[in-house]
Amino acid sequence: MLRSHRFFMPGFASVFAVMFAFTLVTVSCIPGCKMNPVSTAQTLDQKAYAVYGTFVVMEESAAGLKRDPNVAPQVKLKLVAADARAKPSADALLRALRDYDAATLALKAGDGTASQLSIATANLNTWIAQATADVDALVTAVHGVSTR
Amino acid sequence: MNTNVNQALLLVPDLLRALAAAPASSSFLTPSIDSILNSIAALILAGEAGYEGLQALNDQIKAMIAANRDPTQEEWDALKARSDAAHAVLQASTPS
Repeated sequence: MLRSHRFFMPGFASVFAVMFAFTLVTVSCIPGCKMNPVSTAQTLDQKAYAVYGTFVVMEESAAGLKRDPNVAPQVKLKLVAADARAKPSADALLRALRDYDAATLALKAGDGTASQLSIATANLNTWIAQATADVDALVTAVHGVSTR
Repeated sequence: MNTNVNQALLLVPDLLRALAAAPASSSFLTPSIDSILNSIAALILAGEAGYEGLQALNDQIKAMIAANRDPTQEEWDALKARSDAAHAVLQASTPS
């Protein structure tokens, strides 16, 4: 279930999780981004929701552009390709979040270990980063069309 | 899925190298997150595609913070359903 367990040593996972959390806190300081959902969110669950929600908003915008007869077919293909790339990692983010929540509950119930939670946290952070990169490509594609 | 896992894992060394190279006092930004924030900020400033949706999402997260809670399963399910619907439109083989 915790797909990355072969790749992360517990210590590595903890350090990575802390460093990534640091970067998430740091990005909230960017001027002009006060309305950005990713920087508004505070908890890891809220961050994941903000990244996935941003993906959904841009996916819906892309779907609207695909229906627009004034948008060129080759541009629509770029939107479709960006969505096809982002959707799997966005959905993987959801699965990683479920693993993280399960590991958190297991630890609280005494059925799990801190190491398992650390791995799940690192896995979730990895998918947040991957989904963010793929959503960025979708945002760029949608923005490129809408500013023509 | 394996491809995506590999892509995600390839990202980790780059992140760690960049983090290690950043001065402790700097406001270091992970390149991908920095990039999406810049893109979103441009959208917000321009008031273009996705503006209202992002504003609604931002308000929703602010409400969660005010209520001191995380997203509920119902909220996640609603978001997933919206994504699946938009994805179906985008990936439909016939031009819209």
